Order: sequence, then C-alpha cells, then structure tokens
Amino acid sequence: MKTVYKSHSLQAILLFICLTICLSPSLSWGEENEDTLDLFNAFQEQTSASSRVPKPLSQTAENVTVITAVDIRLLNAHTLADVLITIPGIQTDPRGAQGNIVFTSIQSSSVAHVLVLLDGIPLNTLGENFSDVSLVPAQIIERIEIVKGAASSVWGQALGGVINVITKSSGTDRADGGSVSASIGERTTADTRAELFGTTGRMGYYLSGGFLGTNGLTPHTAVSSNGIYTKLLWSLPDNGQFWSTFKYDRADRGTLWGDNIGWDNKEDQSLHTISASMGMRKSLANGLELELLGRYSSRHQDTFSAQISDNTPTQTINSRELASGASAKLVWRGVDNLLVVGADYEHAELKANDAFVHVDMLDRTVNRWGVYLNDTSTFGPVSVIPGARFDRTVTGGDQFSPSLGAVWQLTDATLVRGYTARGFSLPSLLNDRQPEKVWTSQIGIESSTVPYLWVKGTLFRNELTNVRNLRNLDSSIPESRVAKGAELEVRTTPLYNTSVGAGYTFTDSIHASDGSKVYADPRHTVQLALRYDDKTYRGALTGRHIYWNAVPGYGGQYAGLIWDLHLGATLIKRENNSFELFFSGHNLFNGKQYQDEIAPNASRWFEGGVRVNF
Amino acid sequence: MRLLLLIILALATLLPSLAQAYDILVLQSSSSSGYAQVLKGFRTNNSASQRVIVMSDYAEVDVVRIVREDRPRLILAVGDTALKAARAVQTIPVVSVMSLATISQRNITGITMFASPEQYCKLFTAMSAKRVGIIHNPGKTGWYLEQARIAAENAGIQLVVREVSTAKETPAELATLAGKVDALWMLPDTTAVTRETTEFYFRFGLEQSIPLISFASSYLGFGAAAVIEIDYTKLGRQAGDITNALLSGSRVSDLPVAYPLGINRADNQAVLKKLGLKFVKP
Repeated sequence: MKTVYKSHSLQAILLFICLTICLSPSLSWGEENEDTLDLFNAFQEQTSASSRVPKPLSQTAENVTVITAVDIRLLNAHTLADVLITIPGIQTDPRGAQGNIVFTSIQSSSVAHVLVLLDGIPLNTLGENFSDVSLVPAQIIERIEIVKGAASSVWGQALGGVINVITKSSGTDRADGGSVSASIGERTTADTRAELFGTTGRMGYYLSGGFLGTNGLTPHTAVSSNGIYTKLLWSLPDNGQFWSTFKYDRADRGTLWGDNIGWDNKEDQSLHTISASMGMRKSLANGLELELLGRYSSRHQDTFSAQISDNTPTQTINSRELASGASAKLVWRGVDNLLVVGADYEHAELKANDAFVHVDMLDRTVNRWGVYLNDTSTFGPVSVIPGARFDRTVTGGDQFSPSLGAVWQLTDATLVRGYTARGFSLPSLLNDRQPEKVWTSQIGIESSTVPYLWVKGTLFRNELTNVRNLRNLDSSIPESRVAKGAELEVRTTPLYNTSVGAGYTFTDSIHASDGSKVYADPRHTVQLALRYDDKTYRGALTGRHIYWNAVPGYGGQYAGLIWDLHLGATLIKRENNSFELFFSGHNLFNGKQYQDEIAPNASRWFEGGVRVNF
Repeated sequence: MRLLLLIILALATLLPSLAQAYDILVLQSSSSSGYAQVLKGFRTNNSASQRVIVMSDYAEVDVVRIVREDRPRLILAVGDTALKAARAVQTIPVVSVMSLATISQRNITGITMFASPEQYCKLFTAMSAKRVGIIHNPGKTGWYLEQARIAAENAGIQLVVREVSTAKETPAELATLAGKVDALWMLPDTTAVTRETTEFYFRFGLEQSIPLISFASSYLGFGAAAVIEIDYTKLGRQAGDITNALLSGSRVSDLPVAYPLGINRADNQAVLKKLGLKFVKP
C-alpha cells in the first residue's frame, strides 16, 4: 500500500475564486423587488435557529450556513448527504452510491463530533455517535441550518457542530398537492418517490415515501432502502401549533469489501429505524412562548461479516438502540432581548451481542438530562450572545458548557462576529470514558459592501482534549490537539439567472504534545458552484476537493476535483401542475477522492428522471 | 417502478388537458405566506373559478397573451410584481392588493395598504399624544397625508411633518423632531422607512421616551409601542367582495381604491411599560 501525498495543485481553484471575486461586481444584477412585502415584514432577513429559536443571522455569533429547498432542488439530490457534499466547510466521505454510508465532518472535526438533528430529533447513534445522513431523503427537507463549531451550550454534545434539518410542512394555501418522481441511473441506481401535502381548516399534513436502491457503483456497495415520513400539524389559537411526526426506514446495504486491499472479508448491514415525535408551541403571554417536544427513536442494526472467498460468516453483530426523551423550552422576546431557557431529558438503551472495537459492556441503559439558557441582547449595533448548559451525562460525568458570542454591525452591509465556547462529545454508550472536549474560538466578517457580492470569512481555533480516534496510530491513549484554520465563502447574486459561488476551508491540525500533524483531519476543502435557474431550465455545476491528509499506509488518493453536473427542465407548467425532466452526471472527469483504498469513490456515472408536481 | 413510471406518464399526458376556462386570473408575486393568507381569505368570499400564476416561478409571464387566450373576466393582482405585470392589461378590470402602488386607474382598483388615518388618530388620542411626528416622501404618501391632516384636525391632534426625498435624509429629519412631538407615526413610505432607517426610528423613540406607532407587527419586536395592522385574511375577503361586485356588473369607476376594513391593533407591553404609558382602548 502506498499513500499518495501528491502535492495537489490549488492554482486552478484559487484562480477560479479570484475570477469569481473580480468578475462579480460586473456580473451581478439585482432581482425584482417586492417592496411592499419587505416593508411590512420589517425587512426581516434570513434567520437561523442556532439558539434553538429563529433569530436573524445578523444576531447570530456562530458561523452558520443555511440551505433552502430551492438550493436542494438545483442539485437533483436524493438524500441529505448529496446536499452536504456541496457545502463549504463540510467534509463528506461517501462509501458507495446514494443511500450508502456517508461519513460527515465539519471543518475537519471527527465524524462522531457532528450532531445531526431531524426536526429536533438526534440522528446520531448511541453506539458510535454516527449520523446516517443518507437515510434522510432530500425530498422531505425544507431547510438545513449548519452551525460550524462547538454548539454544546445550546444542544449538549455537539463538539464539532450541528446539522439541523427542518422538514417540509403542509403549506398554507392548498387543500391538497403533491409530487411523484422516479429516476434511474447506472447499475440500476433508482430513486422512486411520492409526496402529498395539504391544509384543511386548522389541520395540515405532509406525507412522503420512497425507494432508493442501487447495485453498487463500487464493489459490494449495493443498497436497497425504503422509507416513509409523515407530519401532521394543527393550528392552535394565538398562533400556537401542535404537531406530530413519524419516520420509518429500512435499508440493506453492502458496507465493506476487503478485496480492494487483499483482505478476505466483506460486510453487509441491515437496519430498521423508527422515529416519532409530538410537539406543541403556545404563546403564554405577550412575548412569552412555550414549546414542548416528546420523542422516540429506535435503530436495529445487524452487521454481517463474512469471508469473500467462500462466504463463511466470520462475525455477526446485532445492536438495538432505543432513545426516548422530552424537551421543554421557554422563549421570551423583549424589546432588545431574546431569552431561551430549556431542558432536555433522554432515556437511552443500547444492547449488542458483540462489538468491532473494544467496549466496556454490551448492555447499558441510562437516563440523562441537561438544562440550558441562551440570551441575545442587542445594544444598538452590537448583539451579545451569552449561553450556558449543564449536562448530567451519567456515562461521561457532569458537563458544563458555556459560550459567549458577539456580533457587531459595522455598517449596513458589514458585520463582524466573535464566538468562543466549550463543547463536548460523548463516547459510545458502551464505554466508560470521559468525553472529548473542545474550546473553540472564532472570529469572522461577513460583508456585501461590494455590490451584489456576498463574502464571509472566518478564522477558527479549536483546542481539543481527551481525544481518541481510531485513525490515530495508537488510539488507546487520549491526547490533546490544536486545530487552527480559516474559511472563506463568496457568492454572487444572479445575473441572467446565473450565479457563482466558492468556498475554501483550511485546517492545520497538530498534536499538542509535539506539534506533529494529525492524520485524517482534512487540510484543504474546496467547493465550487455555478448555478443557473430561469424557472424553466435549471442547472448546477459543482466541484469539490478535499485534501484528506490520510493516515500513511491507507492508500488514499485525493489529488483532483470531483465535478458533478445537475440539469433540470420544467417542460409543462400550470398553476399547480408541472412536469419536469432531470439529469445528473457524477464525477464527470473520473477524479479520485478517497482517504482509504478499501473504499474508493465511484467513477463517472449518469442518471436521469422525471417528476410530476400536482 | 413500472407502475410508477406509468402513473407519471399518464399524469404528464393529462396535464395539458387540465387548462380550462375560468373567471379570475390570480397573479401572485411569490409563494410568500402573507400572499397565501390573502388568497385564503379571498377564496372564502369568492367562489368564481380561478387560475393562479405564481410570478416568481417563472422567468417571464406574458400576462397580455394569457388574458387574450384564456379570456378571464378579471385579474386579482397580489403583490408589487403582480400589479406591475397586470398594468399591461387594459381590457379587463384589475383588483390590486398587497401593493403600496395600488391607486385607482382606468381599469385598476383594489385595497390600499394604509389603514385609515382615523384609526391611528383614535390610538394617538388614547395615548394622549397631541403632537405627532411624521417623516414621509410627498411623492409617495402625499395623498395619504392630506387625509391624515383632516383626521388629525378632527381629533385635535397636531401633525409635525418632515419631508424627505431620499432615505439618507430620514435620520437628520428625525433629529429635528426632538422635543417637538409626543409620538412618532411611522407611515408605510418606502423612502422614509428602509432597512437602514428603521433603527433610527426606534432609537429616536427610546431617546425621546415617546411611543413609535407603526403599521405591521413585525416592528413590535424592534421597539414599536403599538401597531395598526392589516389582517391579511380579511384583506382577501374584502378583495373577494370587490371582485364579486365587478363580476356582477359594477364598473371599476364605481369602486375606488378602498382602505382595508380588517384592522387589528397590537402593542408591545414592554415598551409601553418602559414609557410609562397606560393603554386605553381606543
């Protein structure tokens, strides 16, 4: 095995970014204004729920990226993973084609450090803290909010950041509607899906279901998965709301093929997941709101290992996870103050018959809870955002996670952000270990001073302690690390329905003890995008490069860029009906982008499909 | 899979045949929830057949051609973009809502986005405010100010008016009102109130310890003491009434642009308390 440390050329990428910046002022063009609506909405800008309640991004100290359903539609995305793969600062490591395992990290964090939420329900497993983002169909997503950096003062264990997925609702103006879609690609890669939504009186509903499957674009990565998702909503008096959700997924997939490295072993996975929630939001008094949420989720996962040569089973691991919990949140909106106080409770159970790595036990049940308080106070152009959370984790002791952020609106078009916070990430429920911890500090600037060009730059420093990582050469010893980095995002507003965007993230991750570099923490991440959307025809050309900085001997190859092309055309359009064709070409130039030769990325492949909206 | 493809193909084949004759062409600027509320109200009061076109879904909408080919009897324009597109049509009546540019023209009528000045004057009287400051652009809201002056005079209120022609003038003109007014009346004037100038209104109110009265509840969170707000659902119902009248034979000239009838008052108790104001229901 030979690791490729090829000095990758970033010249072309930097040239693209420079051209983007230089050309943008002349390229961009304002969109048609809805002055009346803007005025009556008080020019309310894009919001994020980084404090667990919507507030303007101009009062958000964290480095937050928001992706909407419109952005997702341009990508012809099948799952959440297909969207994340295009986001600046996110590193994704897909194992096979759509529907198979994808490891996700934020700004070179560990995969286990990213908290993924679906309508407030954690997707992370209790065993490995792994978030199965390819089990979330893109169709059900209304919006994704990504907090880059520790967010433990709000969410508890979220050392590396949060990916908060908000699903579609019933809409407000139609009694019924929906869509049906089907796509087919190489190796019988198919995605067939349907959704229904509507509102009748005070009640609304959203239903979605589909099949995603493939024979595998790389050896032994076939997938067969089905899933349904439902959401019911009832409007209460005084703008209150009651809702319930239910999600079921089943998947069978090939997850490992040792033959790539001459190892006589393969692995298959069969899993069933269920999640359900009920929630209520109600106004208690002027400016005071209460939100309650109850949730349940289970994950049954069976992993079968066998010899490739004669199919002899070598190991079978059955794990049964169950998590139920409740959350309560009080939100008070004052004149220049937004206060959020809340509590989370979780009952977690994990049973397994065996494990691939060392565990201290095979069966454990814990009850854990956390309380938090986050405030946003605005003093003229400055917003100060203090926060704190206490967690009784049981398995990892008590954790106190403070944070302090500030946003200074320098001018109408420019703001400066600063944020420092302590974060933690719990080990497997089956291990008695102290949590991994981080002190993160970020400073950033966001500006649209240059006409029609938006720029955001962030510097970050993460001091990690008690880190254990399987990728370490000796994973049994906890260690300290320092990761310093910078991120730059640029985007233009559309000209002739066309816009360009670019993102670059640099991370220098070293061992605190001797200053040597940490392997498997990506050093450079580049995202490029050219988008076109005239409402009839749409297209997106995306490019990405991750310098994986792979562990020596793992045979990683990651010198080039991966280019994807997504096209779509609305051929027939009525007020509530439309017929669309779409097409995607993946990895157009057969780029190599993987950190471990046991799981090479898929070569060029194509797919196409149709969608009817009604 | 085959079945699904069959269904898709069947739906696709049937789609072209779905177009049919209708009475009202609804032009909706975008899928905004505010517009959806208006349409919801409109439909409760109007059962005429409709075709809805969400303008933001299309790069270009040739409304004139659609009207020529589909022959609707009336256009309901919801929002600024919709009204702009509907202006190209002169052959059928246009009812405009959710646009500050709604003014009576040969074939255009509708509902303005201004609550009647009497509603505001009742509020100022309830607050015991005798001198009320206004910043506005005469070119945009001069017509409204004329009516506001009459209503204020009847209520025994003095309007202290400052005129601006660009948004940049707003902070300076606001400063000239210091010590001269008991309340500030924020008009929906797109010159005087912009993303940049809103903060100056609130700061002025706090510095002078006077209430700021605005036109949308969105401003309550920023420091407005109270708002006279248009109920979008009722606005839709009112548009439904106008449309029914036009479809029943009334002429556009018989139905001048109206004030919205569905009005709600909302206030920010924290601000009122801070200002030491006890609110008396008008």
